[in-house]
Amino acid sequence: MEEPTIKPLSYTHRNFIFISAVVLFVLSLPVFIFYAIGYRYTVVSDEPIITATGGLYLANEYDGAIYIDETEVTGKTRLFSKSYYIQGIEPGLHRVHVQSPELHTWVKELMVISQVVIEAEAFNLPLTPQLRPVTEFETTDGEAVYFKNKPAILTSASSSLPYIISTSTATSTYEVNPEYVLLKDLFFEKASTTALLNKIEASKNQSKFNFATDGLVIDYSSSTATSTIKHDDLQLYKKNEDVFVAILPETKRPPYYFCETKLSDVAKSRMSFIGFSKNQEEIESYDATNILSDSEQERSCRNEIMIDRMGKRVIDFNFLPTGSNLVLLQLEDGIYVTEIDDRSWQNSQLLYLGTDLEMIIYGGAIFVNDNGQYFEVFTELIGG
Amino acid sequence: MKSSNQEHLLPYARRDDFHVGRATDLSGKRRTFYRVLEILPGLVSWLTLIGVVLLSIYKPFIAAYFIIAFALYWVLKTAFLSYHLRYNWKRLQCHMKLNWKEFIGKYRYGHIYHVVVLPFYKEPASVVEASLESLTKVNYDHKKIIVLLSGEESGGEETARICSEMKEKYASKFGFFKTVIHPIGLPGDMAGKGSNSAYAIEVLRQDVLDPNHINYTDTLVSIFDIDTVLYPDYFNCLIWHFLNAKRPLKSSFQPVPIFNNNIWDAPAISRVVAMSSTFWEMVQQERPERMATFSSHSVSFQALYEVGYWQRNMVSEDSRIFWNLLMANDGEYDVIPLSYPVSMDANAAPTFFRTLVQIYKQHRRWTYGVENLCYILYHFTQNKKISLKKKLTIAFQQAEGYWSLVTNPIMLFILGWAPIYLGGHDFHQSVLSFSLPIVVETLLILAMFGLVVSSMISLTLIPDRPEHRSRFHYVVMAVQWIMIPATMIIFSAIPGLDAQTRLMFGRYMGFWVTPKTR
Repeated sequence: MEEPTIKPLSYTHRNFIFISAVVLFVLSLPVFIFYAIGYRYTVVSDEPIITATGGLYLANEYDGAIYIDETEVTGKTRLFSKSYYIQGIEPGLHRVHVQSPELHTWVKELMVISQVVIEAEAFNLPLTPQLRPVTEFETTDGEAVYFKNKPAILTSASSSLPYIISTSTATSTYEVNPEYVLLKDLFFEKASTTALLNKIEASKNQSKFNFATDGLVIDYSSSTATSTIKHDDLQLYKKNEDVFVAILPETKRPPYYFCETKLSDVAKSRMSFIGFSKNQEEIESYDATNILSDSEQERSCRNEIMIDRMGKRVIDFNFLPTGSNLVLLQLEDGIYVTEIDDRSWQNSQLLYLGTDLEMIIYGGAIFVNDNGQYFEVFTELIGG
Repeated sequence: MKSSNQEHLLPYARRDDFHVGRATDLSGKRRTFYRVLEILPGLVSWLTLIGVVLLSIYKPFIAAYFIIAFALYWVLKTAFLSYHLRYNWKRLQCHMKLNWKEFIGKYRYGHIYHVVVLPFYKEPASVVEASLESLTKVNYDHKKIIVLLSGEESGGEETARICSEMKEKYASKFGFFKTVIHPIGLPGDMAGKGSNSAYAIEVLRQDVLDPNHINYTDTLVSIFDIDTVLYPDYFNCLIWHFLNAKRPLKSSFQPVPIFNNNIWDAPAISRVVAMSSTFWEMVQQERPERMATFSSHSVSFQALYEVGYWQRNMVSEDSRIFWNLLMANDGEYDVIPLSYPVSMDANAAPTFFRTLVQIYKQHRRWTYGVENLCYILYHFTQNKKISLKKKLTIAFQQAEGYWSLVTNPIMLFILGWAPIYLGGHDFHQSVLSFSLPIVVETLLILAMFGLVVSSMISLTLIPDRPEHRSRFHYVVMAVQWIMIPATMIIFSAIPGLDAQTRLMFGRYMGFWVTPKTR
């Protein structure tokens, strides 16, 4: 042995590796960038083509299966988020299903634009209403007590708590449930307020004379609007027989479902000038972000969205405490949850079936008075 | 102690600004120019980071394209460096197995002396003794080894006691054993390793080399941190490289510092940071044109003497000596990688928190080496004998190194997500906004394969498992590399930015001695 056998890396060798890395960088960078802005290589009718795709950002409470045009897709969640990002969707109108066992299916038709991500918020209420009975009396262990002489309960619903049915009507062995007392007061108060409002409205219609009313936000901007409920940047009110959701005047950025991304006329003409068809569909399916500046993508926004009451009379309404895209509608045959988003139809799902109901929101929970029986109603599967 | 006779110095080293440590050492226009150079690195780093934020706000699409390009660059850079690392690891393994004594047998080297400089401050006697003990075990003629143990007067009586105790115990085992106490407050001195070593070696020259007629050209000086433990063939390996160098007296010799003296007792985060430093040095060993000396290294006495030894007025004297030598020799000076290890301590304080503080401070001191960039750029404008090509190459390499050290980890792991949060609604609606984290995440996962290489190599470099550590620790040592993104930011980028910012505002740092505890 005369010298160490392993020589240092030669300059030529290192240079070769360096140049190879540079070449790899130059070749692969466009691929990564085109992928990132939505271009996908697909084979359509044995013809490989490169298409500019769009994306869907779907908020979804449950890990339900997501279908786009009957094809199951998988999304990628963002950090600390239950929303899914589904990429590589071809531009155009797509029907999106979100379904899960024991839950209502959410279906919506959404227009996907290339290089743009559209947002949607799916919701899936339980098919069987999920309730917690709140009885007047309870055992010392806190179990709800029903008396057998009262009407049958939970015939088509599930209870999250155990309860007992007492054959006796004697109450001495049970304790009064303070929650029941509270709810009783709340329902009584609400009935009084509703009666007062009805009286105000009646007077208003008769003499156009306004009373000052404390404790409630009354919107008289519209001659026929009733009490207004505010939640985040939105307000909910009834006008004539219909319920509307409107953006508060000071809102800078309305929720996505109030707006629609469109191409400005200038942009369309520019695209037309550079050789694109003036056909609306073709223009909208074209790569919007590639050649257009941000200002050229117009957001056309409305101030007000009417809630679909399915042709039924609205008795009461409120925002769903857990989601600003959803409203509670008490119609003549039950309580429904309806989405505000009216791109295509508005999904409505039954929360509680019944007539002669009363509904209140208290402490972020929904309570129902069904002929004197009180329940807390859940929007998700109990234990799910 | 400064010799008034400057005849031994190379012409360029005789300049009054040759040993400039900071702008305040100069006056007039030169001072202003040097001050601008001190501001430049921090300014560029801050502008880069702020620029990425502003770009994310005002031009989020461009920022996103830039980040994708940057992540791709990072993957390729990782692969590129991993290739160098793996190659050097093979070479290191080979060098550790070679019989260097046999290699040097055909050369005449009996006339060469090795001066081992061991500066210390308040390190315990056990640490000093471990280094001396390892010296007694080297596979080399001990009579050709001159030990220079140099303590600080500010270390108090304990320093003097350690010096005399070590001399008593080890003097007979080496050719010469000289102890020196570096006085406090010598003019032009900044308390630190550089001033200590420069003072001590001049004493050695006068008291040992000259009286014993030892040629400066036949003397190799190895300066080691006091915790350095030598592998048996270090001097044989060094001699072989010295004798085979194209210009041995115009070369420094750089071993690979492996921080594994206490690796089994250091916390995982400390091990990762320490091993990362080793790996960086291993990568550099395969591209010597980018190297400067770092930490423990060797150089001929003649070369040191020609530039007036290590600089005594600055922090990162270990690298500065190389730049001194390069400038004084008009660019004709090399670093020769030994690809042979020396073992040192990883940071380990009595508590975990103190260990973290120690790591941070040590890395801030190391990254304060950016002061060398000012020195390089300043002297490149002064020394007309260095070729323009060499100046541009070195300036770019060094500037890019200090810039990327500080900005790249922050840009990649933090600011890479900035357009998503700062980009505004129009950007947020785009596919690019949603794809950006997916693409960057995928690229970073690809880059993580470099960590697998690191993990495997690190396991081969650690010493045998002590009895008090279970086999499970091997698993921990393999998995610990997932901490790399965090350590790169906390113990590389942030201390680097801290150091550059201090230099930018003229809040010059002093020498901070890493406490050694075992």
